[in-house]
Amino acid sequence: MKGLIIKDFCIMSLQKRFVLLMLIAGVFLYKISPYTAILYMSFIFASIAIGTISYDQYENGMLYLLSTPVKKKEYVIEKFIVSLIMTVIGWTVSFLICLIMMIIQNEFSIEFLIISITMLPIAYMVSSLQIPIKLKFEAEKSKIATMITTIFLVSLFTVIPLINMNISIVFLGILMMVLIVLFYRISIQIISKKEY
Amino acid sequence: MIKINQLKKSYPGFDLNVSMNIKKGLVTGLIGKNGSGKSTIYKSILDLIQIDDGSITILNKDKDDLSIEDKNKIGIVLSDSFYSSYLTIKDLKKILKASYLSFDDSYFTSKVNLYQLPWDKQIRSFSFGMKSKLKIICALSHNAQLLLLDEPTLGLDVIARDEILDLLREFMEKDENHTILISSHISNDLEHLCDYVYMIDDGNILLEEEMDALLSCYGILKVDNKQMKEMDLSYILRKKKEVFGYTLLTNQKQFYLENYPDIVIENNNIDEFIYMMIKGVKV
Repeated sequence: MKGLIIKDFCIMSLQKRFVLLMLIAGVFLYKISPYTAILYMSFIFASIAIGTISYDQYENGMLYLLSTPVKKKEYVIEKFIVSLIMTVIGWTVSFLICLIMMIIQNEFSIEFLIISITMLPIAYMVSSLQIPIKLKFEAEKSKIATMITTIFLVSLFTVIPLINMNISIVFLGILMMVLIVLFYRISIQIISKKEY
Repeated sequence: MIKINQLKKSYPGFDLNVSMNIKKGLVTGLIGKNGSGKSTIYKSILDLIQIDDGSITILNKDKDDLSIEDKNKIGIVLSDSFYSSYLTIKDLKKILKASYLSFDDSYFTSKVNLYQLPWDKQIRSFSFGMKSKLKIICALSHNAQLLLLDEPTLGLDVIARDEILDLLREFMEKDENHTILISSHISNDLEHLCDYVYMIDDGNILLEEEMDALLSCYGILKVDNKQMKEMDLSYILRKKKEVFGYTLLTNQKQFYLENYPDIVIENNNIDEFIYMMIKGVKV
């Protein structure tokens, strides 16, 4: 699995410029709501990780990858791990930026801290939905599927800041675990049955 | 090393049904035209497709029971698949080091430098030949025992192909248990490397033979219509109508040399052999 992780970080490092652009977009989103910015950035970073599936599939690459010392199960687990790492990185970067801006503008509150933390599992859950979709549908079809996920999330972005959130973090944590296990199981099914 | 027992796999308009025995310590060649089923065999061995029937044992285990340690012992070159072309050789080295237990850093580095492949350019900027060389280097860089090579010399010029064949010979000499299964269109590669050959066409094994026998016992006969009528066709495998009469393929060249001294008899070569086996009519 270590080889797969290194491969994915090599691929993701190709997207430095894209990440910079997204950071700038994130700063503008802060004006709508800091939570929107944090959710958005976490999701984008996770999507970059999951986007490595497309790179793997391109030019029939999955055939070779799966012939190296890696089990199909490992391949799927690795994608969940890397997207979690990237969600945390995206969340941390955007949280820190928002925190600094809030402190400068004297707007910091404990409520901000609590609600920001809930953005992490939400972003991870929603972005992880892309894993089974990308595994099932290659290239063009998965772009449509990713668009649907993005539209779903954008709706979430606008709805969530409007709700006075009192969702228990424990509840969110449990929901995240249930959904991740579900997406993982579906992904294993897909990759086991697929012919390359 | 690999035993394929009545492997069956069907696609729309194509049915594969083969049995093969790839022996330890030998180089086995797989000859066949495009679409004959070669890649399907490789994918079946590597458990990349579901097979309809039959069994495959590899490294003394059923293909479904291959562990990560077993996969470490197999070096692979696939004709139309490799790591992402957005990676560089520098990236690949890190990835291979982390993927294979016995990755040989110095071997990999020395071969990349020997063939003057650029370390920092993305693979997608490589020529076909450069990519082929890189694939082979990757397959040879982790102390594999078994090499599965699907068209490894595709896109290489004569000199580069010879260099690669040397690498493969070096691999075979390192250990008497080293084994290669290689598919190729290039007859020269097969003639100079293979100990044993399987010929596949339209999903079936047409012939299996030792390379030495193929080159020494097999022959091409050129006869006119009169000679054709008079000769014993017991050892003729294929015939093809020509302007002058017939071209015939035999696996008992010596018989015809001794009994028909007037007939034009040529030594067999892989190209003619493939042509006659596929285009010729069975006798």
